[in-house]
Amino acid sequence: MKSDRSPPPLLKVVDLQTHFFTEDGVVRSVDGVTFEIEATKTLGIVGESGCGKSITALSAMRLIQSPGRIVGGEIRFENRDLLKLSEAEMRAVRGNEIAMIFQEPMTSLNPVYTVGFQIGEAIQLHTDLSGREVRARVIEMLRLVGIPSAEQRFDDYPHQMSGGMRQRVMIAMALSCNPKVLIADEPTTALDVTIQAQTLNLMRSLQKEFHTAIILITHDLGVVAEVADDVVVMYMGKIVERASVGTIFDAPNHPYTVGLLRSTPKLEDDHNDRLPEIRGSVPSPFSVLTGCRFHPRCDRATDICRAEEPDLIQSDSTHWVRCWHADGPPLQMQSSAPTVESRP
Amino acid sequence: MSQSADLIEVNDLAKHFPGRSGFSFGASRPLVKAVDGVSFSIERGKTFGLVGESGCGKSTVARLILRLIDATAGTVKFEGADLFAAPRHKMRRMRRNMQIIFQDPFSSLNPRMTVGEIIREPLWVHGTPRGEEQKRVRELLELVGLAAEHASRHPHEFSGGQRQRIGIARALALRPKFVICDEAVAALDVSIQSQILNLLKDMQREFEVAYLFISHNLSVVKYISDVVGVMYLGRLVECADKKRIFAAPNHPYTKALLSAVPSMKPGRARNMIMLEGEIPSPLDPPSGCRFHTRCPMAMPACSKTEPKLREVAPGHVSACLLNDP
Ligand SMILES: Nc1ncnc2c1ncn2[C@@H]1O[C@H](COP(=O)(O)OP(=O)(O)OP(=O)(O)O)[C@@H](O)[C@H]1O
Ligand SMILES: Nc1ncnc2c1ncn2[C@@H]1O[C@H](COP(=O)(O)OP(=O)(O)OP(=O)(O)O)[C@@H](O)[C@H]1O
Ligand code: SF4
Ligand SMILES: [Mg+2]
Ligand SMILES: [Mg+2]
Repeated sequence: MKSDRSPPPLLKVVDLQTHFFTEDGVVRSVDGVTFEIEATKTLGIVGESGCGKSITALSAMRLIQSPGRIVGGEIRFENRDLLKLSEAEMRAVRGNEIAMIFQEPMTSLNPVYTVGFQIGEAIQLHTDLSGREVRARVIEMLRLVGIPSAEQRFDDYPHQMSGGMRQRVMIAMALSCNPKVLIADEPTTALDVTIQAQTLNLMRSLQKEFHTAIILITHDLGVVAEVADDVVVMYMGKIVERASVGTIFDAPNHPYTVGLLRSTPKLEDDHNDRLPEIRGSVPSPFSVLTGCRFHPRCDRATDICRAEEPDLIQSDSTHWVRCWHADGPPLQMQSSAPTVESRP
Repeated sequence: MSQSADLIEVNDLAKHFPGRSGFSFGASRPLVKAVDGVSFSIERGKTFGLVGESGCGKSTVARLILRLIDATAGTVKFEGADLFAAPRHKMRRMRRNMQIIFQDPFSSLNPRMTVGEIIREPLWVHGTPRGEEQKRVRELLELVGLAAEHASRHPHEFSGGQRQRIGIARALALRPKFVICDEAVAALDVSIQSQILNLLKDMQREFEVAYLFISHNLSVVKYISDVVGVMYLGRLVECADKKRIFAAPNHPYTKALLSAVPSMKPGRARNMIMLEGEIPSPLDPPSGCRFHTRCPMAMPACSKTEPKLREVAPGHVSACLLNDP
């Protein structure tokens, strides 16, 4: 366990821009993203498929591959700008201080090595423990993530484990070096709800124990409500709203956030009228949109929205919104269905 | 022809697959009891939601009903007629009344066909007059919120939500009375998912089509269903009217499942029933009640006696030994 952490924030992403230079044009996958996170806190990142969540995470790890490139911004981690480090220095940070659970667990576990070997390899890379000590540490980690008979399971191959167990192996691997920041990209999406509940509980208790800062990427608003302290909502490469989890769910302001919350069926709802919809769909990443990127789908849109892009404006100490009409009238979605009832 | 309200009646349906012989050499190959004695019925124009964890047998039930695979045991009746006993020509006629929409809008549409051809194909197969086809394709596209011009385009030119609309247009082309939706909205973004759920409901109102709606998303199932069945390891463990099952679940597994769904209200303490352990393998299902290895309420009898579905309230059945007198 590392001690004497520098004061918060631990990780600060400032105006990050990651673009893909494809034959068909430039995709501005991440286009000026700014957020920060402190130790022991969880930041949730949500948004439509393709809005840039994974690319933001991969950029923070400096794992962007051609034709993609980080073209601007800073990634400040404990007062260093990670974008200025040499590749060798970055390797020492990666896995050791900032670890990531990738979106596809099966592609990130190597099928030809045992899970014990793979976790051990991660530990060996970042410590100078002996072979026996590494093995003991791996078994400890497997036990920590709730894998029964860890000694025997050490020699299992990934395919001999269930999806839930493999996901826990991924968590064990990511946490094996006590990283200060854990980036988890859809860590429970492939899991059943009962196993998801176990996994989220596990991440929470490990976070308490090790004071890990967690960046949790998910499209499941319920998971965000449950585990996040702060939330970033992305749309087409930009942050459209950023706030504490309470504010996002009780007083969302950006039309996209409001639409997302209203159009999600909720277990606590009893009505079955038509669901409110966000009309249309996300434009192609190559399309050139002037003005606010959400305007073709937005019920508040006016002329200025079509002409000029709004900035991300801070409305109070913990709330940022990118919308020309952020203090506009409450939104009427296309339905008479009851809306989020918990608005104050 | 029977005039009962039930369009589909599934009785004691079972499918046992030969297991992969990885572990045991020669001798008896283990059986995967993917579906093991499942019964339920679906009324005309209503939605039956089928939920349960991955591998519990939901898609196998769907494939059995459509006769895409042969059942090991049991019967399925469509409008009172035994589907499994139907001769080929009759089956053909019944099949036009039964369609399926799959999870993956990307792989379930032929990339080489235009959207018009994709929607027209079932019309061809079932001999709709030529002149009428064009008109029907146009109508169907508009019905699902696309434009007539889209008919000449190919699937890759559409977004995921639009492709799912194409799949729905195709499934509805022959005005079926019954459509199976197997994780039909699982791959879609939330904002698109609500559009498709609304579309499915509109189509139901318009054509009185009945749905078997398979999903692992309990909130979606609650929204769209009239009746809900819960499966665990090849068995139906509970089934009731939607309102009833969500308000007063009886089976310990249903209770755990509902309690595990994250609530959309941050900071609210929940009484989560945390299940221990993994989902057992259907190759070697636990004895007695299949849920006993994870059940927080398990009694000694649960590992020995297999519980039967019992009525715990009118129209509400549950298979748990706690309900035994
Ligand atoms: N190798 C690549 N070449 C070109 N464009 C890419 C590449 N990788 C990603 N992109 C584009 O970058 C954008 C953001 O992708 P990203 O993977 O971050 O989305 P996401 O928010 O994680 O979506 P999902 O929820 O589906 O995982 C998308 O428009 C995608 O098409
Ligand atoms: N052709 C097959 N041969 C052998 N086993 C099979 C076959 N098809 C399905 N199974 C097994 O039958 C069980 C039920 O599978 P099924 O696809 O019906 O589950 P499901 O409930 O639809 O799961 P999911 O939610 O993951 O789609 C699984 O254990 C599966 O591995
Ligand atoms: S800026 Fe205009 S178009 Fe964009 S979200 Fe706000 S109101 Fe809608
Ligand atoms: Mg992603
Ligand atoms: Mg399935």
